[in-house]
Amino acid sequence: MRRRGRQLPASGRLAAVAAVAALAVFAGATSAAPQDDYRLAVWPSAERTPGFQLEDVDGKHRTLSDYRGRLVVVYFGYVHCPDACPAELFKLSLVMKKLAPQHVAAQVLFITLDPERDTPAVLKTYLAAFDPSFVGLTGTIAQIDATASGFFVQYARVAHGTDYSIDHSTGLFVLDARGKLRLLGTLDTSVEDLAHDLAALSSERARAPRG
Amino acid sequence: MNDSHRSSLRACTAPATVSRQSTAPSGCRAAWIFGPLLLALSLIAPTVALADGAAPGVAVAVTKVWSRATPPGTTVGVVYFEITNAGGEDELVGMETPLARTVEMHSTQTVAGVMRMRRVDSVPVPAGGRVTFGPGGLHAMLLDLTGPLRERDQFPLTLVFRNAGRMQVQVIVGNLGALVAPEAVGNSHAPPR
Repeated sequence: MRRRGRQLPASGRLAAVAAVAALAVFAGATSAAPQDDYRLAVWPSAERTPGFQLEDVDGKHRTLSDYRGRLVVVYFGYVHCPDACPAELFKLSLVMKKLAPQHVAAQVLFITLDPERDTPAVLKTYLAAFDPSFVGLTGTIAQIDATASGFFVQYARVAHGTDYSIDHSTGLFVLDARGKLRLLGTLDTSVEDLAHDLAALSSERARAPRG
Repeated sequence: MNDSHRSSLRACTAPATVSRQSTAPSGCRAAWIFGPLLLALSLIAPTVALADGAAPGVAVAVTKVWSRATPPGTTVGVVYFEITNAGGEDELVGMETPLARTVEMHSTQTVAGVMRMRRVDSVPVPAGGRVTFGPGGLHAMLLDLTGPLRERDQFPLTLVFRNAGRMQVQVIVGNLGALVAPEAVGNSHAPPR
């Protein structure tokens, strides 16, 4: 199996992190949108939406456009992550439960940062334990790298003896039903705030359905 | 990484008579004031117990011990707890459980939105102090679990302290995404006698 260093130059990583932070602050300060009082940080409307070319757990090629018509929540992580990832996925499962009676169509996409260990079969059973509707996406290292960098997600493999863990950005990316990146959540974002914003995005679409 | 932290703690190990000199760091002075107070409290507090083979005056308690159910597909688990030390300076140097090949101590830090997990060889437990292993901070990571952890399961975990020795506690497993100890976890886990 191909093994390739995945470390971006430190300066590049910091620059990207700084860019995300700056955009989030900028968005918070100048957001033109909303009347709908979003609780998550608003992605600047002039910014492009990142995309991806990946595969789902059934080996089907997937791009962002496959999920048009649904709100999309993207989270990057890995199965051998003991602390943040399961807590975050569980939170998302609670958000889905909360939204179910409101008929808000939302799709959680979990993009693995550890395609070597997170085989499609592993991803499938892992995600099903949280919510059977969650979609796991994987790809070649090059595809994962390109996707992560598009979303300004930083990740790096860290060896622990014979094992390794992965440092990674823990942001939640919320896209509207037209596939446009709109909101950024964090590990600290509550179930209530996330559900609130997804419902708000959903009703925004109902009011202004043009695409 | 922890060197400066540790050396400042070591400074606190000096006998009380020395630490009262004006050269003692203020943090140490606080430890020497509150240490005896906590020690006194420990005599009446049922949650604090002497560990197996503990040196005289060492009183370390491990409480709120819990874990999270593991989803299929993963072979790693996590355990969180609180250590209260009513005695002298100590250090957590290892952990073991029959349910995992290895237990490592990890620290987690989120820097500019990036979560960084690092293995640490030991965790200082300051005299009269408290150390919390919790989500987003320190955790015990169970590697190569022998089987999945299910909600409400219980299993033993042995903590090894440099001075207090070995202490076995019972871990209660919470749900897949638990962020706090499950209801069933009381405040006390007395080590076996």
